[in-house]
Order: sequence, then C-alpha cells, then structure tokens
Amino acid sequence: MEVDFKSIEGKSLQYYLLLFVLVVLVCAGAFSTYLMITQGIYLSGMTNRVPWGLQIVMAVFYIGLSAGSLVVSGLYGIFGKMEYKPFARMAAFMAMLFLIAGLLSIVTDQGRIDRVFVEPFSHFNVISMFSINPALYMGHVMICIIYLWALFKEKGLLTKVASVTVVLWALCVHTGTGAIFAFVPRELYNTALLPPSFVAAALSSGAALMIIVIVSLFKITKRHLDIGLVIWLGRLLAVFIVVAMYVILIENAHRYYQIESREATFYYLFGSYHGLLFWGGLIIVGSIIPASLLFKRKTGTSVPWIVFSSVLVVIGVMCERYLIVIPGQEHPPDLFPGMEVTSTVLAEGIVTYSMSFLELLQALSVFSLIGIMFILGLKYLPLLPTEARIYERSQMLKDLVPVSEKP
Amino acid sequence: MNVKKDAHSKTKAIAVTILIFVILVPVGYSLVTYVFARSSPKGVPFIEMPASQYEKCVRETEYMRYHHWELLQQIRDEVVRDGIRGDIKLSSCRECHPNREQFCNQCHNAVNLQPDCFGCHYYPASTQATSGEMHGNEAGLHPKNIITEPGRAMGGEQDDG
Amino acid sequence: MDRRDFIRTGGILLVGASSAYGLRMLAVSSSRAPSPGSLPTTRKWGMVIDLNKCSSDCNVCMDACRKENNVAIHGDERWDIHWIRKVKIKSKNLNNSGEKSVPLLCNHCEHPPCAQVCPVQATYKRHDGIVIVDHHRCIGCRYCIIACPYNARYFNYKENDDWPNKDFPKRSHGVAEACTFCAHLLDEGKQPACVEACQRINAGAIMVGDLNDPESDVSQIIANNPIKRIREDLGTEPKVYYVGL
Repeated sequence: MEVDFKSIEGKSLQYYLLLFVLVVLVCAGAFSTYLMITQGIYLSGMTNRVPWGLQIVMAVFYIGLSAGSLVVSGLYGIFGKMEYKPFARMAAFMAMLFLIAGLLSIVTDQGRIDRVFVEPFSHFNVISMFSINPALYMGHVMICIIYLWALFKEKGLLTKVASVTVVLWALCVHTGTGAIFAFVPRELYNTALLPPSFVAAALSSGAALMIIVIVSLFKITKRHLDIGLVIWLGRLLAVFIVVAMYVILIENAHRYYQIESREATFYYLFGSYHGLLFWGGLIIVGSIIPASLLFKRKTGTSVPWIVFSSVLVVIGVMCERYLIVIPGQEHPPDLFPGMEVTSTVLAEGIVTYSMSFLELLQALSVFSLIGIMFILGLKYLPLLPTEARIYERSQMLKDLVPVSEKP
Repeated sequence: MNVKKDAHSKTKAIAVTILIFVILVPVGYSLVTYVFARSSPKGVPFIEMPASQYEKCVRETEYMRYHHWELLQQIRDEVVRDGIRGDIKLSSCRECHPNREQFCNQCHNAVNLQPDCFGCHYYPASTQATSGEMHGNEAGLHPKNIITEPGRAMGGEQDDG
Repeated sequence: MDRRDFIRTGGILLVGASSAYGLRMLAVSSSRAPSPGSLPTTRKWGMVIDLNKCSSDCNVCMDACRKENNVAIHGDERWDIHWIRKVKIKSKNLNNSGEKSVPLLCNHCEHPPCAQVCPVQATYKRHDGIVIVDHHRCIGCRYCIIACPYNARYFNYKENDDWPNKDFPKRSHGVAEACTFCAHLLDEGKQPACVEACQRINAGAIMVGDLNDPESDVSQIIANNPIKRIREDLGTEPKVYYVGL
C-alpha cells in the first residue's frame, strides 16, 4: 500500500504565532534556569526534605510518553499493520523528542550543570541508576534516529530490525526509570512493582497522547483520517489502562498490607492533597472514566469521546508521576520505631512540597523547546501522511466502521 | 524541476547557516582573542616576587606557569580521595603569595580564565582585607558571580565585606 | 530526496561529533589510576554516642561542627544544613518514659546507599571507612540525598557569606554535603570538632575511634555496653553506635 508523506506548508499565521509563543516560553524558562545557576536552587520549591521537585516529575512523565508513541510506531514496524504506516514516522519522531525533553528536564535540574556534561561520562558509576538511565536514554535517541532514517528511506528489513530494537530498548529505558525510585531504600519508593507500574502507565499515557496528536494534527492540516484507526487505538488504550490499574492496585495493596509500611501507605493514599490526586486524579479521572468510556460501544466508537478519554488518561498519568516522586520524600523515614520526635531543628515529620513559579517556567520551557522541534519537523520533514485510510476490513471493526474504496 | 532545485538550495542555505553559527563563530572568536592576547604589549604577566622565608617555590617557575593546575589536581585527588595529606596545600601558596590580585589574577585575567576554586577555597583578594572581614562572595570567580551583583537581585545576603 | 540527504548528513555529523566527544571522555577516564578503597589501610573509623551523657539543652557539638566546617545556616529550616543535629524522642506507648536527646549525623555506613547511587562517584567510601563527598566532582543531582535512609545528607541550596574557618573550604551552592567525621582533622591525628567540643565541656558523650583496634575507646565501649544503631534492619551497617537508645 502506497502512503504518500508530505510536510506541512507551515506558512500560516497560526504557525508563526505558535512558534513565537513557544520561543518566548523557552527564553523565559532559560532565564529561570540561569537564575537558579547563579543564585542557587533555593529559588525553587525544593527543600532539605524534598530535593526532587517538578523537574524530575516532568522528566519521568516525558520518558513515559515516549513509550506509547513507540508502541504505535511498532504496530507498523514490528507487527506489519499496514494501516498504521501513516503514523509510524510521526510516532518515532515524537518518541525521540520526548526522550530529549526528559534528558533536558534532568539536566536543567542539576546543581552544577557545568559538570553534568563531563563527569557522568568520565566517571561512570555502573551500579547507579542515574548513570545507567541517561546512557539508556541517549542510546534510545540514537536508535530512534536510525529508525526514522529507515522509515524515511523505506528500507524494509532495517525498519523491522530497528523497530524491534527500539521497542525492547524502550522496555529497558522504562524499567530503568522505574528502578531509579524502586531500588532506593525509601519507604514509599522501595517496591519491585514500581518498574512494571511505570511501563504500564507509560504505555497508556503515550498511546493516549498519540491519539490526541493524531486527531488534532489531521484536523488542523485538513487531511483525511479514517475513524476506524482511532477506534482501534482507543481499544488498545483501554487495555493499557486496565493493565496499569492492575499493577497499581497490587502495588498499593501490598504496601498497605505490610505492617511496616502501613502508616506511610495510608499517608500516600489518603493524606493531604495526595489523596485527592490519587483517587480523584489517577483512579477516577485517569482510569475508571476513560476505561468505561472506551469500553462502552457508543462512546468507544466516537472520535470526540475517544479524544476526551485520552486527555483524561494523560491527566491521570501526570498525577501518577507526581505521586511516584513527591509523597515518598514528604513522608519521613521511621528512624525510631515506637518513638515520637518531640523537638527538632529540621523538619523531621511530614513536610509539604509547594512548587515555585520558576520551576513551572523551567518545565514550560522544556515543553516549548520540544514543541518547537516538533512543529519545525512537521514543516521541514515529510512526517505527516497526506491521508490515513483503512482499505481492508479487519475482523474486529467490520461492523463498526465503513472502509474506503481502494483507489 | 525548478521546484526541486529551489528546495535543494534552500536546504543548502539552512545547512550553511547552521555551519556558520555552530562551528565558525566559536572558532573565529577564539582565534581572534588568541591573536589579541599574544600581541598585547604586556606579554607574559609580571608577578612580583614577595619577600618570604623560603628560598624557592615547591616547583620551578616554568612548570608552575604552565602546569600548576596539574599539580593542584594531583594534590586534590590525593587529599580528597585517598586522604594522603602532604606538605603542599593551596594555602601554602598563600605563605609566599598572600594576595590573589597580584598573584593568581594576573595570569588568569590576561588569558581570560575563571577557575571556580575561590568560591570554596579561601584566598584573599587583597592583603588589606585579610584582617578578618574577608567573605566568600568576594571570590568573584564562581559561576554564580557572572552577574555583576550576585544575590542582590533576589534579596540574598550581600554585605560590604 | 534532498531533505532526506539533509537528515542523513546531519545524522552522520551528529553521530560523528558525539563519538568524538565520547572518545575524549574515554581518554579522560583512564587518566587517574588508584581507585578509592584500593589503598591499604588497617583503620576503620567509628563513633560512639552515649545518650546518658548527652544533655537535652546542650548544642555545643552542632556549633563546633558549624564553625569548623563552615556549614551554612540561614535561619530557615528549608535550607539550613546541620551535619550533626539533635532531636528529642519519647516513647509513644509508655506513659512514663522520659525524653532522650539524640544527636543524628551521617552514619558512615559500611554499605552506603548514597555511594551506590552517585552517578559520578563523587560520594564514595574512603579506605578508612569514612563516606565523603568530592565536591569537585559532585553534579548536584541529589540522588544521594534521596537514597540516604537516615536523612543525614543535605544539598547546598543557598550560600551565605559566613566563613568561620578560613583554613577549611566551604561548599558553594549546587553540591551535596554531609558529615565527614572531620576527616581533615582525623587525617592529622586530631579529633573531630564535635568530639573535641563535647570533651571541652566535660560531657564526653561523643567519641570517635578506630573500630579495627580492639584497644581503642570506641571498641571497648561497644564490647562492654548494650549498643544500638539506627535502622540496623536495613543492612547498611552504620558505624555510629548509640549507648542508651
């Protein structure tokens, strides 16, 4: 099946306006990073007890998003589903951009950015997750570049090999990112289910974002998109949501059941504003509502509802990333079991993390930077197909959607 | 066919622009500053030899002029990572050369180099201020001091020293 | 066609530049031969804190540590650093138990999680058992602070102008720091600042000595008293022993 890829014109007012806004945001965030480099990171909301804040949350969020994009790309590359060939290039490109965003978020968060380009390479610590992971991320970017090249050049065998490699490498990347937290002796981090939970949430958030991007891009550029493709992706997303819910359920049930982590888990699930983020953000808004919408026949076959569910899933996973990183730091380690601390010089109990405006600017600037790269890529590279149609009925969708006439 | 040629030359234009800004500007800047530095009338900076009870430095002048950081790094690694403390410390330089302005900064300013040692290691900028009121912020060579008034913009502690 | 050539050329340049960068790093990494822990040593520094001798309203160890090591304080608990800090604890279940005053500091674990997770090996365990940060190498990623199960490590968020001890460097912002057992004093045969201060007021609650030497003070106290370490179940093997905890 021939698919014609064509870049967008990119000369409209909206395009240049968007580019301008993104450039302004990048500059604002760069200035905020500059302030933190020269004055000290006390300008952010991070404190003695909460040394990892919004930037790390966004870093793990972006890394997670790259997985789902690759799954959509792999549908064509590995499984040979020709109807997903139109999205393969865009998905691989987006995956690469999300990885770059993750790396950038981490780099701008370091205390000594001038050293972070030298020391991790010259003095690599093979047993540190923070050493292994950037190496995995950078390798992943390289493999994505090779995969993109194979897709552009329409090289069949290399595409297949590259796409298998990239999916397996993505699995390592996400397991490694989960391991950053899971392998550390902190009460709310230390669970072996965190890497799988990470992979599951990554798949669901990435697939959701792909749905949103595909539908909006095709609408904006007025290119034809067969709704059967979106419906099938919606079903895939529904499966990912269920798997992610399962792992989260087991993870929290185990933590709560164990007596030693019960108090910490109670704080995690019901304490302060996390309770709201967990039950409201992750479970209800992020999982139950989208899953029910996608499984119900009427809403699961309507594109606006699918896009709405995808947005909810992205919000839910964002809450989940926050819940992975922050409550584990806010809750203190139990240094004196059976004793209570009556007087301290530093905060020894539960603390609260409040993000600062400068951190928000930094996060926005990273997002804007990959936004700029994305829209420039759309303009200068043939990433988008001219149309995306299904020509053959698949068993699953045969009663639901019409198929296009073969040209 | 004309369309293809235009597209090709546009790509070439982009490639050349990137080449210019990413490679040639830094290289060109370095070359220009190097030429200016070499041709400056002062030539090699003059460091006043102080009066001290020692006859000579721990290493020869030529070695110190061109390799003193290697010596300092070697001592640093031995002290910090192995815990082997010998006679030579950064503070031993102060015994003969008490003043950073007349010693370290002479060469460092001439070659436009800003090592960030002095943000953490005490080395007085001038001998007048050694009588107790010296503060770390006047080190002046830490990345945080790139802006002219560190700390003041955000209300940090900056006093007169 | 031409856009693809552009990508191809750009990709080759990128790969070439990064390999050149990477090769340079390989060259740099082999430049220093001896690794920490490779030096022969017979010493293993440890600390004993006798809570029966530690009085609740005394803070001389904290002040001495601050003055010796130029530890930053701003009066704000979000960013204040206390290499050694004191907490008061009381039993939750027993009604008539008294309050104990406990100094907390880096335990210089035998299996330090902070050294495990440092991506650049800036935090490492020295040959004599002291866990120390190489502030020339630390990139400020704060992973060691996350990994420490004792909350004993701090990040330097904010500097100030105080420099009480000009013979010892202070840390600039952007690096992680923790108690060093005053390694610079121990290397010269002196006692750490907190130990010396506690002895000066004739309390003698803190002692640092050689755990490998059975005749040293600390070894004797550990052998003859019921001692306890914090969170021994974690397996980190901390080297700060408490009497009366």
